Amino acid sequence: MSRLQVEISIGLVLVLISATLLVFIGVDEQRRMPLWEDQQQAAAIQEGAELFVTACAECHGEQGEGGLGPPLNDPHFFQGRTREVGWVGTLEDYIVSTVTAGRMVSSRPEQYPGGGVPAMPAWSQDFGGPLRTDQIHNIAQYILNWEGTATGSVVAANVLPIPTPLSADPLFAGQQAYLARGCGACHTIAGVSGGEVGPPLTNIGAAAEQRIEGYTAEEYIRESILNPNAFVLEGFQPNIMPQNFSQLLGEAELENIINYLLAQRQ
Amino acid sequence: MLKLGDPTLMGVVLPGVLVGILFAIPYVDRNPRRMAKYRPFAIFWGILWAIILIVLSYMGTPAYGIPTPPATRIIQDLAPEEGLGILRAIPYDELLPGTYVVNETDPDTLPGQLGEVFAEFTERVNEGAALEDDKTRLNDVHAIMFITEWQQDVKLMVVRIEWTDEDGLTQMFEKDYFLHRDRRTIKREFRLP
Repeated sequence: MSRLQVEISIGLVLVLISATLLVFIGVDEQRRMPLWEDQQQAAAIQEGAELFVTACAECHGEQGEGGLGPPLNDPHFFQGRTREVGWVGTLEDYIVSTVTAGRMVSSRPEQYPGGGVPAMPAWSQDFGGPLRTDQIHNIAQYILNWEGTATGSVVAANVLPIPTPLSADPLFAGQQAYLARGCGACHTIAGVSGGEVGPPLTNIGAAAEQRIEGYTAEEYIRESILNPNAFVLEGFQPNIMPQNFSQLLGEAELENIINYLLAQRQ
Repeated sequence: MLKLGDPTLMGVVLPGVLVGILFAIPYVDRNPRRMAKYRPFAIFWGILWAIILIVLSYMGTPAYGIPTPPATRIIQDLAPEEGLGILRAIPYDELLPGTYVVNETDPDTLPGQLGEVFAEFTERVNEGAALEDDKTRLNDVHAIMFITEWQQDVKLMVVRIEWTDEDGLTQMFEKDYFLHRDRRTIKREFRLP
């Protein structure tokens, strides 16, 4: 055989092999398609669940039980809601539309007042929200997945309470609040924050006992947070620290911060 | 290259020098021959540049020179951001609801792949607790895996590591995974009929 004939034969064999492989794979394609569709759907629901917990659960409840916003894991939502509002499209379209553009006023203000005006914010990036279109569609898939349990055709999920972290202890919460409220921008606690506008607090738990006669350390710290000008340490300016912590801090948060500061001893 | 050192040196000077060398090569090597065996200098430079390219590409990947705290590393290895990982490969029915605590729950009591993943988790956490470096060691580590049903065909798995850092502060790293019954649990689906 000439070289040309050899090359042609090799080419022919390779083409035949590829064609056979293609047929083998193609035959199985029908079976794989629905499997992949299921996997796509599963991935959409998984992502929707993550987004729902971070974005929607605050008003609609972790399990869609409702709150400021209406319940979504609910038979009425699946069976009567679109008719109630005169929506002609599918429920999925209704969800996507509502999540995308939000809702200026609640349609049932007595029951579910929502968050004020707008009652529900627009979530789409098109309307100034944080979510992409595909993410909104994933959220819709996740909400629609409640249909079985909401309408009673499937046994509801047995949701166990998530164990609280050990670090939910008050001192840890106090430190988080201390940082979250920006205390660290002006105050130093060694290893935690390094602000220098206000007095250092690294040893405040011990120092507070000595500061003002008749005040326990706890009373001194509480007064200094709620009424910062009450005792201004020498060398520091009054009127720098915000005066409105009594309005900003909840009772539990204030307690946590005080206990955290009391524990600061060198 | 920015993560290798001083930004001015690694980001401006060194790349400039490398490009400068590329410009200079045709002026330095004025060999008119075209056959490879008469061009040892050019071949040498070619191979050297290929090696530099490969080495720098490797150094650019997250695998090189980016220290990850052990807790993040452990959970990231179980369920990587990209790719499947062993955690997401656990079959739905083996995700037995409950709270599993490292060094309290025996991995052998858990079903199949969940047991394997929990054993791996336990081992990695204990490695992290035994690190020699004070800065990264997971002191008083408390690590859990928690599984609950969440929605129809969806379970929630929480993986959480808490530890005390070198300053005595409690730190926590936690990731939540929603796992659907029909999700992809094997690497690739390629089977002949």
